[in-house]
Amino acid sequence: MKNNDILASAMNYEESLFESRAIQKRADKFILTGTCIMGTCIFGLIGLPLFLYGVWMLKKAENQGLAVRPAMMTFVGALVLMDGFLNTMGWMIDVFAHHSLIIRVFEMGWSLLLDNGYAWNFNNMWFGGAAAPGEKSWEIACVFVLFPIRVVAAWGFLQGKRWGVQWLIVSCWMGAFVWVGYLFNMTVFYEMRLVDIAAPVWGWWLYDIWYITPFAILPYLYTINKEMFTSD
Amino acid sequence: MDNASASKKSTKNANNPHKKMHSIIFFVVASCLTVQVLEGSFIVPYILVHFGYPDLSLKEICDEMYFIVYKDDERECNYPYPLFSEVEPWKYKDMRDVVGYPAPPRPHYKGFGFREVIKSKEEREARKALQEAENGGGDSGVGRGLKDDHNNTLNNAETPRVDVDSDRSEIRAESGVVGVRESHVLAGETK
Repeated sequence: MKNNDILASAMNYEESLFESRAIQKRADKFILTGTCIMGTCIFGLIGLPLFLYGVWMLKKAENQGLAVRPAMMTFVGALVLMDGFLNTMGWMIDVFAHHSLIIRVFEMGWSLLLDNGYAWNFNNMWFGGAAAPGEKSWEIACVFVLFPIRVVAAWGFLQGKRWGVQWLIVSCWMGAFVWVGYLFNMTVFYEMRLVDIAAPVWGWWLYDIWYITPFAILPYLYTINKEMFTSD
Repeated sequence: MDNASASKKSTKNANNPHKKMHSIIFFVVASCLTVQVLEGSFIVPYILVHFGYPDLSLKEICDEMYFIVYKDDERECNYPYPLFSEVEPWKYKDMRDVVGYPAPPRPHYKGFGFREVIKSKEEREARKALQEAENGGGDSGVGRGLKDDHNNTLNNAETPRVDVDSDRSEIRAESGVVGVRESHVLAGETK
């Protein structure tokens, strides 16, 4: 009798793990698709319900006692993933698509509202796009180094990989570095960047402060239970 | 089942010593995620409406933006931009001075070779001594060259800064080392 109980509980445990994995995998499809669509900028509102549906599936499974990823982890991973996508797109269009009509309107319009660094001498240097001092260097450095790291790290983190947490921490500190460097670069050229536009300084902060989160999550990453992550 | 999950939850929370901090971060993260999505979704439509869409077409808005930025009705938003055409700065190179040239002019430095500064210093001192001898050791501020500006400014606190700058400009103009923006400044000064 006793052996039967142990066997039954072991079978339940196996079944529960199997079910958890299946739900996790299904929810991740919605979460990844939703986050990718949210990262496209203009289609963000289409991606949000998909993402929230994936989160809801996980929450439901968690309430049933299944071993799925905590909601907090999902939000943190998704936010960093989306941040990587949004910034990659925002800056890559300036590097590679600066002569497309919608991008010209978007860049110069955004610039005339919030930061003159893009409209100033727009398409007036041999590389095209923004000509503000230092701007292209930050774009290239972030898009070819920081954001790929961030996107891959966020996905590893969502998959429960130990390297995902580690690289997320690295990428978040790099984010802090970029913020400080970028802000100072922008500020030393304030006479050109933050004048004669619709909403200088306060408008820029209102729009961009939300992108500060990749390093606002650092305390969470340092205090998360590392035993939840696989060592591979 | 509900009791079991409730007790499991309470155990999980009790085991987390950073529960409060984590919930604050959760709130921050959820807010940021929502705001980023909303901003991303609405910024492009807002820009279009702000600058006159649908009354103006995308091409017309782009033209108007170029007029605002370059303050010139002649500069238009060429679309579709020819793939193998010359790039805009060459096409519109006379527009550079409207909002300032995007890169500083070439500096044309000289005298930075290996231990070359010693030679330069000796030459400068010899020239200075010769000038002083020619002037009979009189007013050191008269007839000085560019190279003496710094020393004289330090020695004679009453020397007006504008004199020093105009000296430099003249000498640079003579040597032909004048950037685009500088040439305008010089033109303004001579008028």
